[in-house]
Amino acid sequence: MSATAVMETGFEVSDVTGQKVLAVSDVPTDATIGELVRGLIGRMRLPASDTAGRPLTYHARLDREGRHLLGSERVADAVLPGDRVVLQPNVDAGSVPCACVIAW
Amino acid sequence: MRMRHRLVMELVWPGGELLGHASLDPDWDPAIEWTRLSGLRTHGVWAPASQAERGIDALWHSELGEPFMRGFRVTLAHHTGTAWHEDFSIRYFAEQARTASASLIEKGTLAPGDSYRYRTLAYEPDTAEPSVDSPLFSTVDLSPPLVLHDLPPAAVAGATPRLSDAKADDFEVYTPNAVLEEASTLTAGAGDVETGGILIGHLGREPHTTQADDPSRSTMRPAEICVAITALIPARHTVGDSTKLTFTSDTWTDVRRAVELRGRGEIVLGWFHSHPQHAWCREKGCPLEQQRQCASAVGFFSTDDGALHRTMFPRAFTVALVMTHSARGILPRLFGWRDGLLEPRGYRLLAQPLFIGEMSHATPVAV
Repeated sequence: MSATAVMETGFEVSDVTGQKVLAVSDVPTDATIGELVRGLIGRMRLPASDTAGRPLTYHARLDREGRHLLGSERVADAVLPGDRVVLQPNVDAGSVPCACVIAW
Repeated sequence: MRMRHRLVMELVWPGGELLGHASLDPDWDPAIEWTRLSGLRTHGVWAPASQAERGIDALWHSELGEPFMRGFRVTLAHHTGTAWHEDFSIRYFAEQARTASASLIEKGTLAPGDSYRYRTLAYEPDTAEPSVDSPLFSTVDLSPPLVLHDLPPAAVAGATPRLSDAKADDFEVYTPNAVLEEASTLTAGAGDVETGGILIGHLGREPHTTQADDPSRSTMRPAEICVAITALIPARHTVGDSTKLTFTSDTWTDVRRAVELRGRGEIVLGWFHSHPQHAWCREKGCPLEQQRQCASAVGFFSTDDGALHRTMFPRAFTVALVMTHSARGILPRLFGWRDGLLEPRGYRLLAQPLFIGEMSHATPVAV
């Protein structure tokens, strides 16, 4: 099995509220932002899909540069040690009232 | 953290005849978060790390027995040794029941509007847990400590009694009247389109909650927490129509900037959005009197609203304000987490704005 090159130092990832923050390290140098975001959704206990089962879109915003990172960018190229990346989804509020059911 | 058992939901007619069944893979996080908040309220400890999570166990139905569940128990423990749990009824699975019923409606087994019941069964897993892929990278939880502000007695002395849908065990939510007025103005200004915003403020401790005030409280129990809303930040960069409002990534960037600019150490406590009921009624051609009587005019939380709240505001102390613009006028209704579910809840109005950060002592809660 071949060894995987990883970034030597880490960075932080936060949710929008700043109340959930993870320090991320050991990211393979060839990992993409898209792979990073997919891996973070579960660890930050964020839903992967909406109520209709459609995948939710999470943008990775790099505060230092004030931009959204592209899913195809390599993490090692875009993110510097000590950076903070914020996961920001596009989410919908809707207006169809719930139906009522009875639980035993 | 997951339950060890494999869960199955049965849908039955009110008479008991089986309609169908579905496997159940619930989102446990709201229950875990509610239990986490319970630790803060009853023991004064905040245990945000996954290491605090001890287990989710089935509670068996007292009459039907195993494998029928009456609910489940979530247990957490603090590194100091303090452990606590919360029990949840199978009402927790109501949303999954709705999803399962939709599938039965598609098959023609159930018709829209039919009444049905559901029950939940838990079985020992018949196969080993699937192997987990090795992680691509490592993570360590660095979530900031929760800061509680001691609420000055003067700040809430003139608060109204609890309004709206209050329950005895709820912690208080204080909001300045100006926040509701701003939400009302935004709702009116948006006309037939939904609009929204973000509620910010502080998590606090009540000034006085002694055993004399409330004999049901243990003397060992810490002062009750409360939510103190200080401001509403109108949501920009949203995309709205009469039945939908999309909060985009740029909306969240804007909100984070606004909180930073205010520089008062406020945290995001929830959100606000409007329901232009009058536009829906007009489109349907409902008579004015029927519009006034419509149950939706008092304010409701849709499935999509709940999903947004779950995604953006998972902490159990967060709230959602819905302003419903109908033939009755523009009416507020507040929703919040209760037993892992989003339900209408009460609030108390303040005549004056709150400036807690300048007037009170702030204490990080032990983690």
